[in-house]
Amino acid sequence: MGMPTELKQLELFIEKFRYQPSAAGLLRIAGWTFVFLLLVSFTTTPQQEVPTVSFVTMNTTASDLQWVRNDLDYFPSDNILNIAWVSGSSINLGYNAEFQFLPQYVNQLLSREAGIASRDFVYNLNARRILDTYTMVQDALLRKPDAMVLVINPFWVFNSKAVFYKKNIFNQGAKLWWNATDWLWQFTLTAPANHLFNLIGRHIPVLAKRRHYIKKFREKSRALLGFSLIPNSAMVQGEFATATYKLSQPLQFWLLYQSLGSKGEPLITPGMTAKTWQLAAISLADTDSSSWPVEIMHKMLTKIKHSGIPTLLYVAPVSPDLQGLGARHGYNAVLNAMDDFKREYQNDKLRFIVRLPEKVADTITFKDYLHLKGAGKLPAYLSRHLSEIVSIK
Amino acid sequence: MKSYLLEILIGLFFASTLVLVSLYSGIDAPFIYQGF
Repeated sequence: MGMPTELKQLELFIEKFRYQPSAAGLLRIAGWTFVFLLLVSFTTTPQQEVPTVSFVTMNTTASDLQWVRNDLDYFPSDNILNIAWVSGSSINLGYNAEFQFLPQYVNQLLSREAGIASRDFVYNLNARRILDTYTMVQDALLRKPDAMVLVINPFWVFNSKAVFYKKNIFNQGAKLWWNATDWLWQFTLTAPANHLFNLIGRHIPVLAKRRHYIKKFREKSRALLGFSLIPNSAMVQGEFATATYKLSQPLQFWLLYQSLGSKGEPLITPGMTAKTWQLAAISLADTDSSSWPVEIMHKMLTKIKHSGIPTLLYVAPVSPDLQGLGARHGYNAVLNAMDDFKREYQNDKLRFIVRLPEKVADTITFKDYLHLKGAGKLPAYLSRHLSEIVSIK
Repeated sequence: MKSYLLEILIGLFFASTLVLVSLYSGIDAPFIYQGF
């Protein structure tokens, strides 16, 4: 075996376990792996839990191989309206505000004004590209919400770059893109680990329903050994909330690598503020009919329309300070493209809000061109539209 | 016989690794499941 002289004795031991598998042997190994995974899966029966709070985040952590929570296959079927929100940082209202996030405010208004009890399942990803949005929408549609709110960030929506940086929503793509329109992406946009843990793993309970197994293994090992074999999270809840809402894998990529310019020039320069960054981002919007973002938008809207799920799609409002700047041209191109999509796809159940009425827009205040300081009449406006579309039979 | 036994052990090793990696990657997730 060519081991050093000092370790020659070890060769005799290793020789006993030496094994060179044939092709059939490799298949048997794969088969046994599958058998043992199923055996572990049968040690307990996963139960679907009903969330006890009305604001539930769907994305987990950057370290999570599966990225999206997997203890819910379907949203609970009870008297409470399940609303999926696919959104980004434009729904943040600030930690000191009465409501931290826009969906919570809308939730309260729906209850108070329209008598509708609702529960929000929020897919929140900052600086998401249209491919991220499409993936999250597909995940939401699979779980059959009673309604959906899709927030379009005008600064990023038509950006034709998708960021595959560390683990991100595309982990779920292997499962979600296995359909007639997206299957080719399996060969270009997914990694082997995604296939293992998401495409195949969704059928193996111990990989698909980890929360349940983590809980059961902890209980059993504590009962048998006196301690848990699976440690608790090192994070305390406050840290985790912050960590999750800083979960911005696409954004981190731009921050770290600072390379966005179409000519390879750095887009993000030292001393850049959120405003200058937003202006630079919108300059890269590609609304040409042959562009990838436009193609993905068509796919996404087709799927939403065919699902029949009442959906409110709105373009996040921007600060009036954007008026008179060069970026206004890029912003208008985004709005015009959204108007085209509205003409093609709007119906009773899929409602577009591309521009807010002035009496609503004028009440909103901003920290920069996009992020809200004061939501003004926006929550009431959204709540009214949402209550209308869910009431349509 | 030895090769068959080794295949079973290798399968067990792979399955254990997959389960451990998957479960450990979800450890921080529990806070999420409670919502806010």
